[in-house]
Amino acid sequence: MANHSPVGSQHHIVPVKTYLVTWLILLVLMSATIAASYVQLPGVGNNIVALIIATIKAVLVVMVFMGVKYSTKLVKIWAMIGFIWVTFIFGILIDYATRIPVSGFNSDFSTTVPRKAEVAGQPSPPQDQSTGYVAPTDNPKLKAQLGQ
Amino acid sequence: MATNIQEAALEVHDDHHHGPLKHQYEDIDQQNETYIVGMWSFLVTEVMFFGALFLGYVLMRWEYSNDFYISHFQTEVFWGGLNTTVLLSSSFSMALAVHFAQLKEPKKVIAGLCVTLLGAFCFLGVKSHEYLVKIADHHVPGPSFIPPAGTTHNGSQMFFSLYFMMTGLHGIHVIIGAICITTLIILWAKRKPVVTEDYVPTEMVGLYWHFVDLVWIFLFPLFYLIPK
Amino acid sequence: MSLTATQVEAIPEKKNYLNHDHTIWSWLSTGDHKRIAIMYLFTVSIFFFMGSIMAGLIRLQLISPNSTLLEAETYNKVFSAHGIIMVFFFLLVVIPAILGNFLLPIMIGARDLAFPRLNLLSYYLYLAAGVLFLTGQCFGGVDTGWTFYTPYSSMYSNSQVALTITAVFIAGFSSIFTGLNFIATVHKMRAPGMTWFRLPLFVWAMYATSIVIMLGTPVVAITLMMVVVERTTHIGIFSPDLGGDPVLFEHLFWFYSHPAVYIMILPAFGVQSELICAFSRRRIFGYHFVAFSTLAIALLGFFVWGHHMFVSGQSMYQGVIFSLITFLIAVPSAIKIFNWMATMYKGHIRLQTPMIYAISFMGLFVIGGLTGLFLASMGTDIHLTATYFVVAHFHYVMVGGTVTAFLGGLHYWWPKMFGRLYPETLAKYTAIIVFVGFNVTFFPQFILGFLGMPRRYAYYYYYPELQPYHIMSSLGASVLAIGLLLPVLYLTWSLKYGPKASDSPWGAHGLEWQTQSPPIPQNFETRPIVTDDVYDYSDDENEVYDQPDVKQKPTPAGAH
Ligand SMILES: [Cu+2]
Repeated sequence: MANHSPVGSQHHIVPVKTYLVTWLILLVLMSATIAASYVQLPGVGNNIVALIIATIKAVLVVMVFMGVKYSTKLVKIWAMIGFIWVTFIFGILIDYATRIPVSGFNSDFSTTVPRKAEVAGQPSPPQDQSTGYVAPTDNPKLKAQLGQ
Repeated sequence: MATNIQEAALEVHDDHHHGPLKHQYEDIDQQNETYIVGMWSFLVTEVMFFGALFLGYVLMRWEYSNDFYISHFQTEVFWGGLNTTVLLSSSFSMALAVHFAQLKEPKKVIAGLCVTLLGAFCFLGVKSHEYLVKIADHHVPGPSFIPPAGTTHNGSQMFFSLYFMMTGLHGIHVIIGAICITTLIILWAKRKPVVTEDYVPTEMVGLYWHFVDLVWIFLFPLFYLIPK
Repeated sequence: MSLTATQVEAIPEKKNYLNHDHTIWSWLSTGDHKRIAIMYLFTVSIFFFMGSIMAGLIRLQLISPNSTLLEAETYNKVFSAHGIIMVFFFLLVVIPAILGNFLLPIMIGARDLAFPRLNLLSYYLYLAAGVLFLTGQCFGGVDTGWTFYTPYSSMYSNSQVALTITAVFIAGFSSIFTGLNFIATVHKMRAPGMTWFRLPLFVWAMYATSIVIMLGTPVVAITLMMVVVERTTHIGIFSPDLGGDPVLFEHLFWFYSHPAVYIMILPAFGVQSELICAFSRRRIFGYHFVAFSTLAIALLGFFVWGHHMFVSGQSMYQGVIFSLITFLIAVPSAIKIFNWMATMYKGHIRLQTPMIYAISFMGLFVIGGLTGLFLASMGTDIHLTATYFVVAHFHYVMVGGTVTAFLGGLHYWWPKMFGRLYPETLAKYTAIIVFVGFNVTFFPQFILGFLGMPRRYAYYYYYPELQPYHIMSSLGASVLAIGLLLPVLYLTWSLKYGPKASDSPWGAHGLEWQTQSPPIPQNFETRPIVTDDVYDYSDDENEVYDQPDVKQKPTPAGAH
């Protein structure tokens, strides 16, 4: 340990200029993303532009500020694996995209609560027209049951 | 059985080490690399931590896209942009602090850290202003919630639920970061060898702070910049 | 130096991690991975005892179809407490935190884990979580089951959900910190010559487990935290009441909780590999296959969570894909079983206590794994969902797998941990009692489930024909209880009265058998340099095998 030479140490000292340039690019990108949000693009265009810019910014921060560009392979893998795995969580969306019917998950709930009322021969409680969903707390019968 | 243990031609450490080297490591390089690996593993868990929330956001925005679109006008792009600038700049000053920690220039390190800390407070100040505005406008989900005109109750409430959860969790990270930076400033000001002789503690706080910045980079367009 | 047993007794005890400092404070503030492992052993045992009491109550209740012992509400709280304690406070920690903590640094030739103080912090977080959970129990307990499904947990349940979930959240962070520690240690602290493919398979298993912890646990932590926030402040995304989606909770919960079963079983695989090699006196068959199948299970395990949701209204197409991947993940598990069997084939098998546990592990895990395939296919799962079939399946994997492997590992490394031998014959019979008791408890539950007994029901008086199976299961549970209580007694006894163990009482291969028993605080006198392959039993056909009488072999380290 005693005669440990600085040559042996792996760390790379990044010049201030690199940081400065990165910072300026980040600020420019931020302005760009704000500006882009005022332009109405067709479809999901705006979201794509915003996310691409955000990703570029994130890569810059990770690579330069966090120094991944100058790090060992292991750190590079570690830096990637988190982001890769997050995309796997987004696999959950496949479920919602492929359900039958695809009208949205709220339509499932609407069949659960009012069913009781239908069985009793009463008119269904008023539904939220936009979602077709009846909140249990809006349901007078349920309210009575819950003692509210 | 073949011999696994041989007399290693390595120096035996003193048990009473004063410097930054801990007893379980052979040398400072090993220690530093281990710390960096540990910190990155922690950041991976942090990414996953926020990942679940981002998924919730995507799903709810898909379900209530119109409500999200209308509700997002309640967030002001000026304050969001200001906070982005503040965080990006504080990340820059943090990077400089680490740079000077590598060069062992305590005064510049402290200056960099102080600027970063100032950024953290600025960010929190702006954030609390925004929260206060939303509280005044009855945009906090709950019994007193009043949806913005043209939105459904559930949809806009979901927008603000996610807004408060995600920015709130991010805010907690900013506060933790500020505490770490303050501790670091104190250590540097006292010229403790644990930071002055080894840049890695500073680097680790730096990594954490950049991560906080990273989360905000995604939060900003998702809550403030749904197309105007 | 060859000493007889009496001479060993005569000389004062050598300095080791247990006796180098006796004060309570030196234990509470220790950074020594070995001492932290012992503290975990103590705490986890207490939780296991509590969880077992809850299990006992459940079995007592179900002897009769008429709900004679507990009210339905109490029963809900009892099975919830059983599940939460056993999953979050026992299974997730037991092998990583006890055996992993103790052995990982020694096996790779390090002085300690990478972050000793973080290790201590994770112990205290675990303890705090446990105390918080028990506080919740004192204030009335929780009745949601260990899965905390919304909207019941977020809206309707009137029990201590917030407190309990916070406890689980903290326990999650304890587990995360342990995982980080292991990852950094395996990557950076290996001794010279200890290449990746010289690592004992236990280390591979701990590494894979840590990766699962790192990638999975945060997801469940934030998900459960959202439930707490939703419960307390009504800001949430799960309750349909608030326009949210309870199925999203199930997705996020199982995104972690399926990998979590690999956090529980992968360490058991690691222990199993060690035991099989040591007691078959052979190098493991297909080392690379076993190592990579460990990683494959860890990573594939993230893509099967939907098999818990076949009847939760998830997309049919996604169900098909999840079903398929679930079948696929049986392959790496099968690779392991076949490799262990191939290792035993033509080996010099010694039926010591740990080996009996190892063999019973293989039988039980195969049953547990194969019944998993019934649940993985969507058609049969609709019939079997939420029945005792599921209960029996995961108890075969968790108790038959993890607990058996833990007991085997504990018996195997006990002489290393405390330097004492336990009464071998008694231990052998105990292992057999555990095996028999376990099967009698849980095999009838497969039949019960197939006949339609739902899980989590306090009574079944519409279907009293099920009673014989329940009685048999409860009988088995009492045999199992004896089998689990006996090790507590004789292992505790051995701490004081057991004969002294030599440094390598099994004649096994590996760095941990080349240090002193119990090890010195810094594990090795000098830094070990590894020169031979892992599980290299090729040259020791006539190896001295000194169990149970103590014969000191000259240790090659020249350590003392
Ligand atoms: Cu599963």
